[in-house]
Amino acid sequence: MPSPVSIYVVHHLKSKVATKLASDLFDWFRLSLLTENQSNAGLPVYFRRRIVEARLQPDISFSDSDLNIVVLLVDQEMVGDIDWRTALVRFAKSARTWNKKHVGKNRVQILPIAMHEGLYRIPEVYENFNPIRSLDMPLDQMTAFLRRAVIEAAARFVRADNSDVTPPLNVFLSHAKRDGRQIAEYIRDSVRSFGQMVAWYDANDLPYGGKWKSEMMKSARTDTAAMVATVTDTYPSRQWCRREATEARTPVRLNRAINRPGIWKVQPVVGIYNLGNLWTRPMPMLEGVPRIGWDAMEPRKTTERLVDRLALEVMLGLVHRKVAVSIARKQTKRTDICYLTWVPDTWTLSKLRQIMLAGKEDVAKIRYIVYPGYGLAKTELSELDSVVQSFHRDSQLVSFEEAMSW
Amino acid sequence: MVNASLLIAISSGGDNAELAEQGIGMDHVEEMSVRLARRLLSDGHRLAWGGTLGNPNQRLTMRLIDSAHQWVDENAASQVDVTKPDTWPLVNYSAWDSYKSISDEQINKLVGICNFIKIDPPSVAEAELLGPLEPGRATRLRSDALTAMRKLSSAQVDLRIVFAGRIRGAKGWMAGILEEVVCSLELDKPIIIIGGFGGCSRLIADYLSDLKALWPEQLNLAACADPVRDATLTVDERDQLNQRMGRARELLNENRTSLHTKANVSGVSSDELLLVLPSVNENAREIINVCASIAKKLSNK
Repeated sequence: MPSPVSIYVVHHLKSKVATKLASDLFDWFRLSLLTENQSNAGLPVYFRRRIVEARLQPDISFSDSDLNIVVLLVDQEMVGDIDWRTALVRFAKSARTWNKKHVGKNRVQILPIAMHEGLYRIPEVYENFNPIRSLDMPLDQMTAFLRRAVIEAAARFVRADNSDVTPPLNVFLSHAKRDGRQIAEYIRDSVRSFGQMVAWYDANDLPYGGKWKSEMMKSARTDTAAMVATVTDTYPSRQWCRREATEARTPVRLNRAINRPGIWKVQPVVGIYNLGNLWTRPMPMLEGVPRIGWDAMEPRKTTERLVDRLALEVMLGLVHRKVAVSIARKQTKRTDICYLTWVPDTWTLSKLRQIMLAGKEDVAKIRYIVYPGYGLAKTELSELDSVVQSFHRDSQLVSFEEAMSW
Repeated sequence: MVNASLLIAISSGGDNAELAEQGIGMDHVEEMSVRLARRLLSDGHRLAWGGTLGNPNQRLTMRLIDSAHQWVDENAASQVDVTKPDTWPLVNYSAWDSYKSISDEQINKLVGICNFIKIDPPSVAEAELLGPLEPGRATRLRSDALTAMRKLSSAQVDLRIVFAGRIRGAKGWMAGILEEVVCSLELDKPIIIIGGFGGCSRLIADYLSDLKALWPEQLNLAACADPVRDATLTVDERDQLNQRMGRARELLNENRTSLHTKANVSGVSSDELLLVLPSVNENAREIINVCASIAKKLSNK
């Protein structure tokens, strides 16, 4: 089964900076095992660090993925080595030829990163693939810069889904005005700096208590909506905030045609937490949402990471959908499987059941709930037992990885 | 839940330049190690590995400890007795003088989680290890301690799983994975060799996969030679080292014959062992399932 997206990072092994950047990209797109243990539902990342007879080794098999993103970290080691220069030119030519021959599938997108001016003396690369300048940046800045560049490009291509236009992504900034306004404003500014995103900041854009829901739902149906929840002390106590979070996390059926119980999605959501000294309670609908703490000393860095993560969540949602569709296509006759495009939690599973029941669907038919990644830990699975078995006592969660071998 | 908990060694590691041949790096090896560790821990087994907690480059060590915190099976966790280190989910083998970087505080923090076993070079007075040493002597003692560590861990574990691993420039007398494989074979202990992640394991796996394959020339003593250390060897000691390498080749040759002619090798199905040998098999899920299946069968015996 071809992967929807694969990322290849090409660099010279002598370059410590490039090696570190490659490793950072690996952690970011794989959803680092150290910080994330929720099923590891990230993207495949490979390295190309070796050339043999002036060719990348091993070859990149473009047909293995619907979209191949190849990040070229072009630094002085690379431009100073004739074999590497030759390999870059050959590779760029082969990618161009491939894209011409295979319009609309197994696309190759090269992202040359100019870590050295020498890149601009390799016209086959810089003239055909827009290089991104990162000259003379300190390492931490370069890491953030590169992460943003790759995620922007990847999200653009995945979201465009082979069309020429990428629709803007409407990011709803859910916050409590009393203590979340300032953070939301920072996020709004950061969202604006991300090419494909448009911030919906209710103070400016939506009438209070107005038609935000229908606007949000319209965007959600067309995959053009995502949300940042700014969770402060007062956030859980605000009815509107709770409704916004509920709306975003409520499962929506994607495709009834492929498989009767269907493929389901939720809106991509990330949370930023800035809790003070008031007693408060967690919100169950945000249980499975990736979140980060607010760092008032480094607001720009925090919001950049937040926005990048949101873009990653958007992209992963679309990638997981493609995987779910391809698994479902092999199981078209089965009516006992439903597919999730997010890593499940108690609240979203319970909401899913509620929606199915409201649609007069026989939830007891569902034996398998398929979800992204390698699989949750035993303890995580056992925590979900009661809600999974509320579909049917024999219902079980199955990871994408397990389902692929059906 | 398995019938009995095994102590399983996970041996990996490697070098980015060597792994580049497969299009992967240490990041992939660490990810595989952690995935495998999580699966085996959640199946109720205990894990052993060689590594140094205090070394900031040993991110893997931290990740394995993190895995033990999160993934250990509930039943196994309930059997942990702080007074009995052999009930703890992790065993860390650390050779002289790397173990000096593990602080008492680190060890104390991990009581009930990780049992640290420090291994000194054999037949060396403690006073000598504490004092200043000539560079050649120190390097030699390090290599001896690594060999002792591999012998001890092989004797103590019920199963060893190896993948990736450095080919050239290892600190021991020979490549670490090769020495661990040989120690396990000498004791007729079950061992799973995974070829799909490159490195030393791939060289061994390629050799074992094909009855006609020649010994991989990269696996030799010169790959781990250290001129300063090796200058301290007497003629007899050099001969002994060459004999050990020869013995390694013999054992692997015997193992290869057994894999292709017998139904079981060291109590493990040859079919399953052969399934994970090929270097083209990079299917992590399948490999992990085979490892878990072998561990389960061994624990049921």
